[in-house]
Amino acid sequence: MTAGDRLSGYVDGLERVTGRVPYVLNMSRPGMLHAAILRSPYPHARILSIDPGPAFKIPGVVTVLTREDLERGLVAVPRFGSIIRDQPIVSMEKAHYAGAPVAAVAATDRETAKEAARLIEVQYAELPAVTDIEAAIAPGAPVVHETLDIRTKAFPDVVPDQSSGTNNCNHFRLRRGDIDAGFAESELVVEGIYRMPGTQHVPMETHVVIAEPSVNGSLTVWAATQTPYLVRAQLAEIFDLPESRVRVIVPTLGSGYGAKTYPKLEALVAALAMKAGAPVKLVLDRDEEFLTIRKHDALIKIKTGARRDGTLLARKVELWWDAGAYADVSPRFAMFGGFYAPGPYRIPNVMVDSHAVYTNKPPAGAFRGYAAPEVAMAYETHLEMVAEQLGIDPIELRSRNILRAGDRYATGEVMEDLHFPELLDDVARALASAPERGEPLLPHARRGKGAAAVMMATITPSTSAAVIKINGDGSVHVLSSSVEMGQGSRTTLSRIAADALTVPLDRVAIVDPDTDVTPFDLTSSASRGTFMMGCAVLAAADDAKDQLLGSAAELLEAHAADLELRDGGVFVKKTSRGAPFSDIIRSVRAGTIVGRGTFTTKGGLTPGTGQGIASAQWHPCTAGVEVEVDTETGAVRILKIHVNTYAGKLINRTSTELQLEGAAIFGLGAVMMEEMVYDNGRLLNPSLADYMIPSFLDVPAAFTTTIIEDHDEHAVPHGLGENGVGPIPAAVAAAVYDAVGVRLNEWPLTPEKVLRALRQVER
Amino acid sequence: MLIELALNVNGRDHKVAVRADETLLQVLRDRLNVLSVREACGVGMCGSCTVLVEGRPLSACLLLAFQVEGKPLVTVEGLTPDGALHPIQEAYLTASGFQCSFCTPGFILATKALLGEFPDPTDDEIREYLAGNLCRCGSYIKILQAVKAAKERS
Repeated sequence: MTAGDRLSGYVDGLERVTGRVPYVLNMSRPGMLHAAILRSPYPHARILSIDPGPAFKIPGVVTVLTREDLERGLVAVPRFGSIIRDQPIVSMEKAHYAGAPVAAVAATDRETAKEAARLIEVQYAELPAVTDIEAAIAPGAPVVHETLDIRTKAFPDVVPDQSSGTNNCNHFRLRRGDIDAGFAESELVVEGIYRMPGTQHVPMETHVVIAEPSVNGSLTVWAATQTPYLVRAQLAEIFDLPESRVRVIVPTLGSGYGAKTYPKLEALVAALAMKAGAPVKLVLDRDEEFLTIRKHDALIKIKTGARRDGTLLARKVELWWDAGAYADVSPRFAMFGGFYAPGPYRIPNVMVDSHAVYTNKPPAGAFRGYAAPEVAMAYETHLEMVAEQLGIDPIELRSRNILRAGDRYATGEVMEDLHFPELLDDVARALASAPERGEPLLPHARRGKGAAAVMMATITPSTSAAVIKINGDGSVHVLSSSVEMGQGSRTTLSRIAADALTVPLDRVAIVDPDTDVTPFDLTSSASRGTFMMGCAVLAAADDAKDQLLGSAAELLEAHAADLELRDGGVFVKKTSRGAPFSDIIRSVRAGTIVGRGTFTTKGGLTPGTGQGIASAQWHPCTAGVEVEVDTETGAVRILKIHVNTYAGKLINRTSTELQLEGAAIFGLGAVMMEEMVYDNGRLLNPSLADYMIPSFLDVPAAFTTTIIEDHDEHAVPHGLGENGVGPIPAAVAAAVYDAVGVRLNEWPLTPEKVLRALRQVER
Repeated sequence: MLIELALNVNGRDHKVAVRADETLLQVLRDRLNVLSVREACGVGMCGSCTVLVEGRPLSACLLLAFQVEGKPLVTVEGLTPDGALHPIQEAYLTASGFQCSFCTPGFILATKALLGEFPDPTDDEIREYLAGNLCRCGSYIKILQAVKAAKERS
C-alpha cells in the first residue's frame, strides 16, 4: 500500500482500531432476557419425553421452549431451511445429531439460563446413526429423514433431485460430449480417490441473535447473519406474519465465511422471545458454534483420459458431500462442487455426479471457497499424477489445457476474463525466484515446490438492489443490504457511490442492512458483493444522476444532454456554469433525491445435464508454494506462498489484498491442521484448544500476491473474496510430493500422515 | 452471593459487586460495559479478550475478577488519557491491519506489550510474540506491517 493511494484504507477503520465496531454481541435491549440451549447427547435418537419442570426451580428462569410449543400453535411452521424445510426450530420426534437443539431456556442472565437448561429432563431412545458418507449411502442404511418438505422453487438456480437412493439430499448431474468415446480415444487413463474432512469456519464472533416481539405482533431481530432477506422470509413463514411485520437488522459482523448465511438460530430465539413476551439474546459459546454449522466432509473420485501429447480428452467425476443432519444450502453446494469438478481445463467429454448426503452429524453449509478447495485438491492433485505419467511438467500440462478466453466450459458456456495464461506465468516466475531456495537447515529436511489453479463461480441468476439518497445538502446515503463482515463492503460501496456522483468520500454514508429500510439482496457471500451490489449502486447512482440532470437543466437553462456531474454539482460541460446538488434539490423543492438500482444476472443450469450458464462471472486464481519436509518427523513447513487473481476493475486495493491473503491462509489452515474429529458422531474437538487455526507462526515470511487489474473505464469489478482458498491445499500437496515423493490424496497433511506415507515409499 | 471488588480500569476506579466465580471478561463486559474486550474461544487460546494487567497482556477469560483487584487494567478504550489515537492504533489504521476487527483490540494491546518489552523487535520476534493472538480473517501480513510502523512511531 502506498500512502495516499485512493484505493486504500477502510471508511470505518477508526471504529475498528478503537474497539467500537457495533457487533450484535455488544447490543442489548431494555428488559432483555438471555437464552441457553439444551442439546442432544446422541447422534440419532427418538425423543420420548421432555420435562422442563426442573428448570423452573432456578430463580430467574422465565420460560422454556420445547417441541410442545411448536406443536401447540406458537409457530405456523415448525421447520425451516431455505431449500428443504427439514430443520426443526427445536428437535421434534427425533434428535438428528449430537448437538441438535432439544430445548431452550430464557432467563434473566446467561449463566442462569445455562444452569437451568442442564436441569431439563429428556428421555431418549437411541437409534442407529449414520456418521459418514459410506454408511449413509449403504443399502439398508438408517434413514436420517423419513419425510421431507422440499421447496423446488426456493432459488431459481437449485432444483433438488433426490431420486437416487437413501439419505440423498441432492444429486447434481453434468453431462457433456461422449464420455465413453473420450476414454476410448485416450492413450492414458488415470484414476484417483480424494478425501477431505469437515472443518469449521471459526468466525471470531460466534452466532448472535436478539429477537424482540412487540405487543402488536410484529417481530424485530438483530442478527449476525450474512442473509438478512432470507432470514426475514423464513421468520415470516414460521410465524405467519407479513414480511412488513418482520424486521431483520444487521450491524457489522465479526466475520462470517459462510457460517452466517441462511437461517440458523433466528427462529429459535424469536420463538423463545414470543413465548417469553420479552426481548431475548442468544450468544453461542465456541463449542456450540462447531455444532451449528460446518463444512462438508468430501469424497471425490476422478478418472481422466488424455493423449500422450497431454491433451485432456475425458473426465468422469463422482463427488459425495456429507451434508450432516439438515440440508441448509447443501443442494446448491453439491451443484457447485459438481460443476467445478472438470477444473479450469478444456475437456470435451465430461460426466459428473455430485451428491449431497444426509448423515447424523452437525449440518454443513456454505464455507469460504464453497467446494472449490476440495474439488481443486482432487483435480489438481490428479493432474499432477497425469503429468507425471505423461512425463510432462505439471505447469506445462496446465498451460496446454487451461481454459482461455472464448473457450467453452463443460457447462457449455463461453469463458471470458479468465487470464489463466498470465496467472500461471506469474506463479511460475514467483516459484523460480523463490528466495527460500538454498540448503535446508536440517540435514534430513527436503524442499519442494508446487502450484495449482482454481476457478470459482458466483450464484447465478441472482439479484442485488440499492437505493441512493441525495440529501438537501448534497451529501449521499447508500442504502444496501450488503452485510459488512470485514470484507470492506461499506468502503467499497461508498467509493463506488462517491466516484459515480463526484462527491468526496466523507460526504457518503452507508445505511446498514435493515429489511424495513434497505432493499433486497440475496446474500453477502459467493464473492458477489462488489460485483453485484457494486453494479446495483452504480445503477442507483445513474438514476439519481438522471434526476439531477433533469432538474439542473431547468435551473441552468440548458439541455440535460449538455450537462455533466462534477465536484458534487451539475455543470454545463467544459464550463464553470453550474450549481451544487444542494441548489438543484432546493430549486425543485424535492427535499431529497432518491435513485433506485437493481442488478440481476441471468443464467442457470438445466437439471439432468448441467448445461447452461453456471456463473455470470468466473473468478480465476493460481498459487505457488514452497515447503520443507522433515523426513524424520513428517512435519511440513511452508516457506513461501505466492497467490494471484484477476480483479477486473479494482475498487479497493487494501481489502483486495487482505482478502486474497486471508483466503490463502484459510486454505493453509485446511491443508495443514484443520479437521473436525468425531467418535460415533460425537464431535471430539469443538474448542480452539483442540481445533487449531493458523497463527502468525504458521504464515510464511515470504508471502506475496499479484492482482491483475483491468484499467478500462467500462471494466466491472470481479469477485475475489474466496479465490485464494482454493489453490493452496493442492499446491502444498504438490510441493510435498516434489520434496519427498509422497502423494497424499487427502488433507490435513499432518506429520503422522506424511511420515506414514514416507515409510511406505521407503519400503 | 456477591463480593465487592475495587477495580482500576483505564485509570478509573470502580467499586463493583461480583460473584466469586465471575471472570474478568464477564465483569468488564457485563458490569462495566467495556465492550472492546471480546470472548472468541473462552479457553485462553485466541487473545481476543486480551487486557493489559500491570502492563502484561493476559486473557481476561482465564482470570477471575478478584485476582486483579487493585491492579491497573488497560483496554483499547484507555490507551491514551484523552481518548486520542495511540500511535499503535494509528499504525493499525494506516496499514489496515484488520478485517472483521473482532481480534483487533487484542492485537493492539499485545503489540503495546511487545514494544514495551522489546522496543526494536525483528519480524520473527513480532510473529513469536503475537502468536497468542489469532486472526481468523488472516490479516497477519498487514498486521506485521502495522507493528513495524508502530515500532517506528514509538
